Amino acid sequence: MNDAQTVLEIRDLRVTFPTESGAVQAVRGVDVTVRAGEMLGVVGESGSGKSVTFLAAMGLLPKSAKIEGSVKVHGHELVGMNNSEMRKQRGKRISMIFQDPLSALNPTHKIGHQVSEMIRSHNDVSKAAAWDRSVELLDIVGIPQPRTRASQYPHEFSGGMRQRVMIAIAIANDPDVLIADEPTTALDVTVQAQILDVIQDIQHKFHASVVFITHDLGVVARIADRVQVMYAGRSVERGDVDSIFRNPTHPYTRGLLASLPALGRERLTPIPGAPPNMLRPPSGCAFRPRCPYAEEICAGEIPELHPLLGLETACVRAEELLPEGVA
Amino acid sequence: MTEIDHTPGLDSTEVHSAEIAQAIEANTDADLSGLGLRDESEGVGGESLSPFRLALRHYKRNRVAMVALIVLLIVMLMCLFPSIPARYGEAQRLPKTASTFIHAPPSAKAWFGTDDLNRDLFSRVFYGGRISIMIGIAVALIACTVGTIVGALAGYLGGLLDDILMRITDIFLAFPILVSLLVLRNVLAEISFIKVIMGDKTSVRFMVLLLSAVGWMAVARIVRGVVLSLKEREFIEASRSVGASGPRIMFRHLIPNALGPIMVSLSLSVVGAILAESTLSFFGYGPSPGEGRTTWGLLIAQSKSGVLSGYWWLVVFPCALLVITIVAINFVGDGLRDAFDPKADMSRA
Amino acid sequence: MIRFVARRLMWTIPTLFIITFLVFIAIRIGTDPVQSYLRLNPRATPAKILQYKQTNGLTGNIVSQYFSWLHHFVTFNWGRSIKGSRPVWPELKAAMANTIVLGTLATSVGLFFGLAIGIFSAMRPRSLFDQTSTTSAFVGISVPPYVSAILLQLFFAITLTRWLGLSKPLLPTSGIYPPGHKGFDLILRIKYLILPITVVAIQIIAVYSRYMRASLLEVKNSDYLRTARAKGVSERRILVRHALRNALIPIVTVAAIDIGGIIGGLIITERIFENKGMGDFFLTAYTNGDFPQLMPWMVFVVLGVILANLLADVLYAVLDPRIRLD
Repeated sequence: MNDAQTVLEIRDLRVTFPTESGAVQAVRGVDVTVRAGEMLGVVGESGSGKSVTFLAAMGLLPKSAKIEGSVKVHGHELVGMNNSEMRKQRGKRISMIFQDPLSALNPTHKIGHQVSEMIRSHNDVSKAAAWDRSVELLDIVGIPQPRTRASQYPHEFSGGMRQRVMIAIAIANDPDVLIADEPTTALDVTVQAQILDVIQDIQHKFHASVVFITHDLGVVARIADRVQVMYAGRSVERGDVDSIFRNPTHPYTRGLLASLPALGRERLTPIPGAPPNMLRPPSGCAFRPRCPYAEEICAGEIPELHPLLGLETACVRAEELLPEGVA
Repeated sequence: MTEIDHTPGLDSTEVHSAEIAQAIEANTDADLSGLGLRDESEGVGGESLSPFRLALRHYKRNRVAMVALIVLLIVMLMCLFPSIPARYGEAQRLPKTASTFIHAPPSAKAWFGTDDLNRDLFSRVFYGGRISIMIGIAVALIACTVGTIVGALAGYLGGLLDDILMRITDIFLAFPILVSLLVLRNVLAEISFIKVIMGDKTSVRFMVLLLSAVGWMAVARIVRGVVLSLKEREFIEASRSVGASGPRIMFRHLIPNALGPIMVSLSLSVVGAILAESTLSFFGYGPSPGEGRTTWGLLIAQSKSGVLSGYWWLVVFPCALLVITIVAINFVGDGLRDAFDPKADMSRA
Repeated sequence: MIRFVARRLMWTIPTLFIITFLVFIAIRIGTDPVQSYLRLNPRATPAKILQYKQTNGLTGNIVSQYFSWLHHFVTFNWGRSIKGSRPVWPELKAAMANTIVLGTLATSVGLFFGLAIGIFSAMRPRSLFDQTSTTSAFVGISVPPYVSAILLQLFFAITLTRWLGLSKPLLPTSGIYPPGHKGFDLILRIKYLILPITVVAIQIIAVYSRYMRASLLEVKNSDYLRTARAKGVSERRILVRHALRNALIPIVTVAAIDIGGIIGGLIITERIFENKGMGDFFLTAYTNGDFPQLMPWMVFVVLGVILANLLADVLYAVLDPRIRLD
């Protein structure tokens, strides 16, 4: 696995939003590596900076946002690129699927046009050719009668079908990286599974690299190859799915797992407290105020990721906290 | 934002980029604005953060609205007590001077010049404002009271009452307001039992009641809309399920929660009434408040003849005071709207 | 769509019937034509009054009078004005022509500038341009049309003429043509229209620049605009194809319904600039209590409002695929 080519590499990314009350540090030094053909699950609560990280990579944050660090796709640096160059990267090298497919599709444009627009923004092809390709793409993502459906409008589609359209748009130019930002959150449970299948299908068929952003560990367990857990704008733990689910080393990841409903579990244990205010994040480990194992040492420096049991963890006490018989 | 028991990782909405800054701003710099919006539903019992007080705090931070409010208060004070700013009596004719005996241009003696009877325009502008503003306030109070009650009943009860309200207002709103007012003016003046209540066509009372008769409809439609949307909300259902009576729900829950739109309607009604009065006066269908007395509409109407003779002061000063007042009320109304609905304020960014 | 329009047009007839009946009663109560006749012909003999009543369908109860009026109206027997006893239709037609010229030009100018200002404001919110235009629009909606009309008159008739030392005003401030003018003269006509158009357009600009700004800002915050950006669509195309198109939908429909407001502005403007249009026609008829003139005027206004509402619905359905007309 380690030999596989790195497709997306984010280094020490920092995003701050200036507000009247001060700078909000939404992302505070995040590293992400996505290799060819793999699916990376990015997990975190609201406000953990997981979406902001990738919106920053896409160059989709408001102009006022201050972005530092490096985002490379196949070695091409994206941070600091001017608008017209960045525009050429979006949808071509890196594309994105959003959470709510109803609001993400333009209600007054035909579905086929919305897919064609993606194609024609990056390729010099005729309208008719783009339309035909759009119909093909709709077929690939499993929309029945794609030719008829292409002439319809978003409101004539169900939620799941709309999300398939979003996927068709996202893969239209065979991007190097596909970022799926909570693509199943707004959908019914039964439809969720279908959409996950479509995404997985595409990953395998096109050997695509996918970043799957979610708050749902269950989904990650099902489809991701590797997991990166984020909290308060930083990565707290990352590694391959099996290891993390078997032996989580960071108390936050453990908390997440403990709050997950599972067969045979009597009681869910939620993590007490609320995520920190990113205007004034706590010193040291940001999870400290909610962590049952917090000690004085945690208030010191902001902990960096370090290797442990095949994972990388950002808990300074991770070694001490390992359960009996694991180390 | 204010919930404490976050179930970790199961929050269904990831905040999106454009909203992040705003959301966080709203959360920190004004916990109250976030609360004010949502807690209308939960906070009915908790009086500590009443929507009204929240709005007041929000309003105070709006600099433009505060300036407008101060300007408005000054103008209203001077108009309601015109003897303070006035330098001469309302009907007092100034002694003639060497150069002119009427239509004197602005000077140290008469800051705004004098009119065709050599009366001081500066004084008359405020005397005229007294009647115009009193008409505005009276109409707004009547129209908003009637409109709120009718609109709330129609929205809450629905059915026939609602249909009747909507059809009547549909018909009136189809015509230009000026046309509705002029036609209704004649109708009301001809029906004998109404005439007893409303008085003579040219009285101030008639004007107030005429403008109220048209003005309540816009308020009723606004309040009806608000009540319709509130009716379905959980806290109303909750009070109904614990057996609260209809009137109690209406006066304790619906109307207080529609306070924002009602306050805004109030300011709009004052503007509408002042404008309508002055427009009707301009065309000669306004009130005649009595010998030597005037209104803004009359002052501007009488200046018409002065335009082509070059008596610019007769036109400019009454118009200026009228426009300043209306701009100020409009800014106050806009400030109120923002204060009662902080979300609307954010989306304006 | 065609079936929808046809059905709505059919509904126009009963609607007109009911509204004209109500208007008829209101005007009959408020403006008794016999009283008006007597006021204008104080020495009319009882025989003459009776004759006037009979020729104008003013005998019997009010319902039968309405039907008598309706019969006259649909048979295009619109009678003569009480004052001057002139046929109603030719004057009404001329007034309508003038109003349509003024109304269309003013609305086009107003919408053009209003929408353009709104778009530029929304593209750079909080910029100097935005703050200036938002504040101006606010002042604009606070200035009643007769105030702007009379100030413009003062400025062009007197102030500017004096400053520039001209012998006659730069722009004419009243009428449609100079007194005694015969025939059509485009340049003159436009010169006489500039000030009235300005007054009506100011109102429209003030209102619609605000609408457009708000509408475009809302669209700018929408998710589908972000999707377009994520697709790598050019900013220009995003603005034109996605943002403007969708932002215009509510505006166009509001504009189509707003005919009442525009007529209101026209009445005032026409009267002040002595532009002999529908508004001036109405005020004159109202002042004279001229019932035979008032009723057809009302019918045209109601018809205009109904058709504008229909147009709004059709436009809405054309522009927004989510709306279906059935």
